Amino acid sequence: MKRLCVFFFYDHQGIVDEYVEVLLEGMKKSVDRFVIVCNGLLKPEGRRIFRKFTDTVIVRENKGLDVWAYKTAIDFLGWEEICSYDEFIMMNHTICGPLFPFGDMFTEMDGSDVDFWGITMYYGGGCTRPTAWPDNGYEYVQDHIQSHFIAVRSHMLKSHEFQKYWSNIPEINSYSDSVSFHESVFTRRFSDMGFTYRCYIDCDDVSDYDVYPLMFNSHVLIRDKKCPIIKRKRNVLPFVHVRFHDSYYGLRDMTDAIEECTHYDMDLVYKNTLRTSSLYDYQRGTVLGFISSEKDNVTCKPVDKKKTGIILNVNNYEYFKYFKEYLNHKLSGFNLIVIAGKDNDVGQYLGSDVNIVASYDLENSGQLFTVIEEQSDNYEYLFILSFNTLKNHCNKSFDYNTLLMEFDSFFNSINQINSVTDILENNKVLGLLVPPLPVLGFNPYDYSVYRTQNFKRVMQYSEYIEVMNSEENHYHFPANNIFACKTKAVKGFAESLEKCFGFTNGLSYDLLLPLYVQSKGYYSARVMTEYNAKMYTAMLEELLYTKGVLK
Amino acid sequence: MKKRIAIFFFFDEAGKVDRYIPYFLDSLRQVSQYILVVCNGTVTPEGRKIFEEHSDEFFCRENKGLDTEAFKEAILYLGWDRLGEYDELIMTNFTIFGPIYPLEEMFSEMETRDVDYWGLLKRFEDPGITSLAGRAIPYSHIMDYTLSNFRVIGSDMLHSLEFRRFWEDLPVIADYMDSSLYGEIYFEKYFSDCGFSWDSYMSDDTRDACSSPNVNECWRLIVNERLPFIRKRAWISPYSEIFDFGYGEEPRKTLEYIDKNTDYDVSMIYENLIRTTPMNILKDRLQLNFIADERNSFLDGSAKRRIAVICHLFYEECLDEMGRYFSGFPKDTDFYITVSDEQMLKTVKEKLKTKAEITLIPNRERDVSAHLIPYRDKVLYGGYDYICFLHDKLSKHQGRKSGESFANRCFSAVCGNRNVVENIINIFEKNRYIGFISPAPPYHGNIFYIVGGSWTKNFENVKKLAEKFDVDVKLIEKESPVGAYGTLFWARPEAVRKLFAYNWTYEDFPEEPTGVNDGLILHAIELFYPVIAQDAGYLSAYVLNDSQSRSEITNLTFVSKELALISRGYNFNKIKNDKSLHSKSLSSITANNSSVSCQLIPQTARIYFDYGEGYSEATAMDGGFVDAKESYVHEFKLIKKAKRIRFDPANSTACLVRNAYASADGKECSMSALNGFTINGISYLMNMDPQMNINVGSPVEGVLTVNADIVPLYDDIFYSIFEQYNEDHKKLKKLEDKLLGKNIPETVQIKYDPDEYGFDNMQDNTGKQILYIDTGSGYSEATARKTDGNKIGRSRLFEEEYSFKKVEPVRLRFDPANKCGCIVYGMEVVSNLGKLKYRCLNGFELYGTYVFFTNDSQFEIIVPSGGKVTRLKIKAFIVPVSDGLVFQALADCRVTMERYNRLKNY
Repeated sequence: MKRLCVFFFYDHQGIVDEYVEVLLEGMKKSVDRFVIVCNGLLKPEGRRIFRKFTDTVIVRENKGLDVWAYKTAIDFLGWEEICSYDEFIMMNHTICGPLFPFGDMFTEMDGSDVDFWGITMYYGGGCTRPTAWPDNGYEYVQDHIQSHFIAVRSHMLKSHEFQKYWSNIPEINSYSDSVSFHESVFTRRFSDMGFTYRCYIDCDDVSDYDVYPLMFNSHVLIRDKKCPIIKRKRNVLPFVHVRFHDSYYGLRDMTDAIEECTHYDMDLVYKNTLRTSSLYDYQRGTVLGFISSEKDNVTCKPVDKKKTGIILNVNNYEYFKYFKEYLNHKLSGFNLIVIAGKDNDVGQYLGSDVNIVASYDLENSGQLFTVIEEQSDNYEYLFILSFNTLKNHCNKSFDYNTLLMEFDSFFNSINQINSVTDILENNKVLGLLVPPLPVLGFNPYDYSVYRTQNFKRVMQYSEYIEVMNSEENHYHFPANNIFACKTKAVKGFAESLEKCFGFTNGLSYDLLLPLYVQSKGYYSARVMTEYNAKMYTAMLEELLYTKGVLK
Repeated sequence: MKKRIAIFFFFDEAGKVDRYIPYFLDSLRQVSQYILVVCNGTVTPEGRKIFEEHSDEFFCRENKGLDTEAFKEAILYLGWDRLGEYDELIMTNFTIFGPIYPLEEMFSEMETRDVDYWGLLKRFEDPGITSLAGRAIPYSHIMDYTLSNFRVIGSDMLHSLEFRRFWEDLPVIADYMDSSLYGEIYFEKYFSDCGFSWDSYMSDDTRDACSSPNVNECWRLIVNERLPFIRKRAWISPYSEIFDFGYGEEPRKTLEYIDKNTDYDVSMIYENLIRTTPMNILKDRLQLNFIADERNSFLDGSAKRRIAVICHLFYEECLDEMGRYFSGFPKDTDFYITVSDEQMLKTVKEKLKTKAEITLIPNRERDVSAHLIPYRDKVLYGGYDYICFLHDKLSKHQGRKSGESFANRCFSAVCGNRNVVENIINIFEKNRYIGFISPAPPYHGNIFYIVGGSWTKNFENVKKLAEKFDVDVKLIEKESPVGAYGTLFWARPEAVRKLFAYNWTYEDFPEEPTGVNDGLILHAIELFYPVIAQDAGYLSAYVLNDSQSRSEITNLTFVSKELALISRGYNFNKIKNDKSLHSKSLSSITANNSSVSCQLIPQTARIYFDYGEGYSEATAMDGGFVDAKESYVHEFKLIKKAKRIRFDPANSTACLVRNAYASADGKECSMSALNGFTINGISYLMNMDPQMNINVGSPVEGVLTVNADIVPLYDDIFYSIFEQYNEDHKKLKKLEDKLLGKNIPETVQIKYDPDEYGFDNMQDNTGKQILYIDTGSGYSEATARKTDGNKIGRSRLFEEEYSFKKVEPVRLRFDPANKCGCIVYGMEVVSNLGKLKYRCLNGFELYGTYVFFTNDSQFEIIVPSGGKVTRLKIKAFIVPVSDGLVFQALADCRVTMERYNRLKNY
């Protein structure tokens, strides 16, 4: 079959991520001509990528969503040209794949005598039309082929009905308009006119319990039905979907299925969603967090001590002295970089086998990041142990316990250090690991107040480094500057601060660092020990109950 | 030949394209080089394929604007350049069947007429119709015009600017009336005014014959005028439309004629009709009532047929009779018998002479499940041509004559003797579209209410069954069902296959005795058989034998005659008194149904205008439903100045009206009773066609608002009360005139205070009837005897027997209603001690009835001292009353009566 594919693309920054390239690459063999329509922006690099697939790249104003992008392509091509193809595909960037070769799909569908087809279906499930949708003439949500991929065959292409559909397409001003007027009615409308259709992935069995199988039961589709696509924003679903639709295991099951049954690299998706979502959505949706087993019987590869640097950032000498025993054996063999006050002799408290490779006099609170900058070329991973006076300082006993909890996340044992390094190494897109947020003390909500106080600056910085941010963006951050990171994920942080603000001292680095890491294409996550996890769960539940969230 | 292009418009609710369509298109091909099909709404993929194969172009559009807008879109789609290439444009649609004669015949005839456009059919001028359902028409009344279902536009007109303008400027077509108005009436007017001439293939011979000759004269049109098409409406309009003008045989004769005299395959018509039309309408329109001759068989004996009888035998007493019926079946008939106990099994084996397979089934439900379950495989796979389903029937209760008549009627019709059986088989053989034959529904005695078929309590259950079996048949509650009343019937196995293919179990059916004689699944299945047959593409018919037809004609004529008396406007009560309408069964027809808690006929108001040519149905308007519980307010839009206006507050029953007034043009008009009397502000319209005059004075126009309190009355007791009241009132007036100036004593004060009785809470049914028993320690709820709340039917007759074995009543109290006020008449209390006296405790007597203004109505039944009541039977007619207006009227009656009685003796 001779195929024409109109690919609709939108990115708020006009960046074409690798997953798009992979998706188009997957389609290339089966498609004779691509027309790529891009709403809004397209960066030169993006256009260069698209040029690999077609000469016809149309960038138009960001209006009318996908519907008017297709309409633009149709008007540009003209019906005569379109009708010279056997199949006309309308496809968009909201799907990722191929998990299985698209060729298999096209071969199977070629044998199916239908007028139009798609990959997956959304089921109405007897629901009335949501109030947000404008009136489209149907009281109920109709079962429909999802508009991220609809192929229309010659017979229907040449029909007056299909051509009239496009010449009468209404104004589309919102996502609801697009779903109500186009996606949700296209299938019903044309099947009512006697055009036959099919979905490549038959989900009628799943539809008994899930109206949206591609989103919420993707693993079934992948394992049992060889579904070649997944939904791009699966890992950054709005919380309302997670709360009311998602099985708790949806994402895990999907990634497991992808790993077991396909060769698809999920990092392609993560890279895109990391850039295009707010960090909080990303962290929550992706269920980011690592629990390292404390037990010594789970052994990890021993850490390569040459690649790993440890920075001791001693602002509060008293704290440091308290923890000297805790640190003693664990630091042996590592390269240590010490930042401390002139009068504070850190070395005397450390064992004789430690290897202090560099020492800095403590000058200001921003100095840590200039040191990181300086040292980052020497190491792949850095562990930062800061002895700062706590933000939620309470009394010494509490302070020490809080610090212990944070240190424990990285330094509980040698095995823990190994484990954390292992996590960093095995998760390519992971750039920063932060300890659990200390939620006790006088005021457990210190941190949200802290965020609010610094919000203006955070937003200024977000805009500067071009990451999505908003008031709701409650992402993880290393509240007391205790963290582990990949050096390539943090390199340039100090410079970017300088460029953005004109100075580096006195900034809320902890809030800014994860955003910087995100802008470099890495995500940040929490790490904790098993015991920390237990404790954290217990404390969180208590807070949920006492604050009335759970009743 | 002229170069022609055709636009064919199609619509089907389900989007299915039946065979008559491709035949139509292929025939059209002989006179047209190019065919474009336009479909409104939906079409199935199979349908689409048919259109693509049988036309040159096809498209579907949204279901808007009917054929008129579809034609418009098709014309604009083709474009003027393309249309310019053709000499003639044919515009036609799916609402006609044909052609039954070669189209060339019509086309060559029409070429000889020198006209700019022509139609197949026309509607004739009608001076009586001055508007189209209230919409203004461009003439003073309807003039001749062509129908849009087949029209041919000639070259001059097709290529004219006027034709182009007509379509381009066409207003939005909102509904059927708009479509007719703009697509037909305006079409004619516009082009005539532009100087284009027209004609129709249908001649003027049927002008003035009746209303809509293009439907009702279909037979004459195809026989005398050789019209190649027949409108589908000839078979699907309500029977009344054809009955109003004639004997009703045309639709049936038309089909027969086409079948015999033309090459047209009538099965194409049947197929479409059966799929899309309620069976009741088809049954009437095709007059599917057959008479099976008892004395001669018309069956061609040479053909081999396989016949089976499936029969449940329950009563030993009936065995001989059933054996006689069995002997009426042809020799090779296979008999499949079910029995439900060992004893009966033994008896049947011993005594039944017919060779049969006998199966013992659980003694649960007796006929429906016995038909459906044990011999399921014989029905599905037995290879039978026809199967007769029977079961024995025995009436034992008091008044069993009625039941016996019913049974006898069924058996004689279904398997009375050999000739009857063979003739029924012959009906199947001669009518390949009949799949189900049963006796016509009975209507004698106490089952009169199901005359012509009735869903009674089963409509919802039949609908559920239809969903369960995924049946694609239109079920409409107001269309009577065709049913297997009595569950004795014949069927082709393929017609009922779907029902038998389901794995029924005995547990699906309730255990006998159910204690309920309607509304259960078995009753629904009786009515469902014809539905399942229709789904399979078959018609259902009723059968009688020839001697029964004598009774049937007599009975139906009797019924009609009586009804005619009422409809001629005779006072219902007078007829009763005259004893000319003395059938108790018939008295129920005025009120329609068996249960008082539901289904009183809702009444609608209607308004008539005299625009200078007298009142006419054509300009009348529907005034919506009348609700006794709410004030009636309705707005009517006058199409022009009206000289006189008449308002009918109800359409088929008497009513009371109060506070009636109308306003038009800002002026208020009083209203007065036209065929009733008004006393004390209440109009009593005691006849079946109540009418009020709106006193408009000078002619009015604009918006007319009618306000009134209207209470329809469904019970004839009101006639006798209010007629008497009218008499008394007249007499009282005379008496008062005579006594004018004299000192007249105070009238009695009637205890009537709505607040006290809480009329607002009253319901339209009486609720339970309760007999309180005092054995010496007072009345108590614990010992009270309560009847079922549905005891009183539309006959209003309450009959109940009580026996007192352990208790010895010293006092008895009977409460006839507890949910509303009531009128009680004809009450009799009979005990083992003979007739007992009673007295009304908290109501009053009015013209031989007892009236209660409370929902705690009470009678005391007087127990004779020294006697011991062991048995008691109470019989009474109890009419619920719940409307304040009726209470006020009754109170007025009492005042007048009392006052008259007093003054009389003064």
